[in-house]
Amino acid sequence: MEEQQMMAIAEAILFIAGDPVPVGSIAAVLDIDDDDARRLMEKMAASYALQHRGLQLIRVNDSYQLVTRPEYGEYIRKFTGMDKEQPLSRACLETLAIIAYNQPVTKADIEQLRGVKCDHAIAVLLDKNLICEVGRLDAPGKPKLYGTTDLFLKSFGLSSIHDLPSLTSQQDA
Amino acid sequence: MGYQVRLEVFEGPLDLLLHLISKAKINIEDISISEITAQYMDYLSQMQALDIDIASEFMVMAATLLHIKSSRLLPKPASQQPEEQEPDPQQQLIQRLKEYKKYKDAAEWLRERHMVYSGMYSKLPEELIDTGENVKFSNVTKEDLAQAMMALLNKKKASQEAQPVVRNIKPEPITLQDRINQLTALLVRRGKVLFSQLVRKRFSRLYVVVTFLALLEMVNKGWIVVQQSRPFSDIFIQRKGSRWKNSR
Repeated sequence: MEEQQMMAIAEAILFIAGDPVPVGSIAAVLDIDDDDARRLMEKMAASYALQHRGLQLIRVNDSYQLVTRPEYGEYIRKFTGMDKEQPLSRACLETLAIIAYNQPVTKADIEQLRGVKCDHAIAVLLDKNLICEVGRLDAPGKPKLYGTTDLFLKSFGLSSIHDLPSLTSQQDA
Repeated sequence: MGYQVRLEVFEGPLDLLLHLISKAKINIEDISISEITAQYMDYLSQMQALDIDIASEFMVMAATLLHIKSSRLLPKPASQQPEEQEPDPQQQLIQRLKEYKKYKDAAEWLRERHMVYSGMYSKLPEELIDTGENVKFSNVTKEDLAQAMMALLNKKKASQEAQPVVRNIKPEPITLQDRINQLTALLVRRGKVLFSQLVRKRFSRLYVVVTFLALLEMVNKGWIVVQQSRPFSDIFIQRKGSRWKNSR
């Protein structure tokens, strides 16, 4: 099959799926191996970017998804009449940052790092599906362990958790 | 003449300390505990003056700061024990501040990313319904459809026109409590019984159901045990517990 045709098929699948589609599923439909599918998707993503389309192809972990380009968000909100999403509070962002870098992590660890209670922030993040319970620590009380979700990656424009910048940040106090 | 005070809101004592440190334009490592303690206490008293609830975490930090400060002021005991393994509380605090600062910066990075990427929208999955190939619409015409509709409408009309039917509501032939009483009496005499024996005589659906419910209720109360060797086989019922003490 020609590459152009495979790309068109993958595009159609991504359109129908809406949600992120694992590379493996695309590969299976096209009857090619995962690496070829990955290459194909990267090429497709590049061509979307090159043509300045309203849609873009993003990678979340090992899945691909068609989404609108963030710079056109305000037009989409104008069209749908939606309000802009409330930005996350600083408490939530700090909690999220600690979870993102230390996952899986318990509430006690987060509170130790922040020096304040985090129940509310954790509840909000769970509610927004940015974090989830990933298990329980084998310690007294079996505390819940939290980790970030794929929605977290998507919402922050990350392809994988390894895209987070290294924590040894600038020391300008 | 009143004046307005604007107090910045902090995410916690560490956040407040970082703010004080950055205001003093010093590195975290170089903090002077006495200075920072004074400023910290100032802030807390401002909060108090404004009737703001001070979270307990701020108080804990105040205590920590005062502890560090006081231990500085006091002369160290001359006989310095080498077993002084306890980590320096000031170093501990500095470590915590540095650690917290990292995540505060990371949170800021996330905030900026979120501002950009929350404007990205995706579509819900398409709900493609599999119509199934088993259903064949061969030789069906629109007249057939119309006819079916007419038949349905006529049926409805007929049922609306029909005279209301008067029915007598019969009392239930047997209630659950009756059946429990009967079974109890039976078990007082016999001690054990098979389910098939209980429903042999009057085999109506209601009777079987009520018998079964009665047994469930008695199991629940702990009066009987029931056993079944395999699914759909007969149920063996035996009395259990102190309820039967006086029976044979």
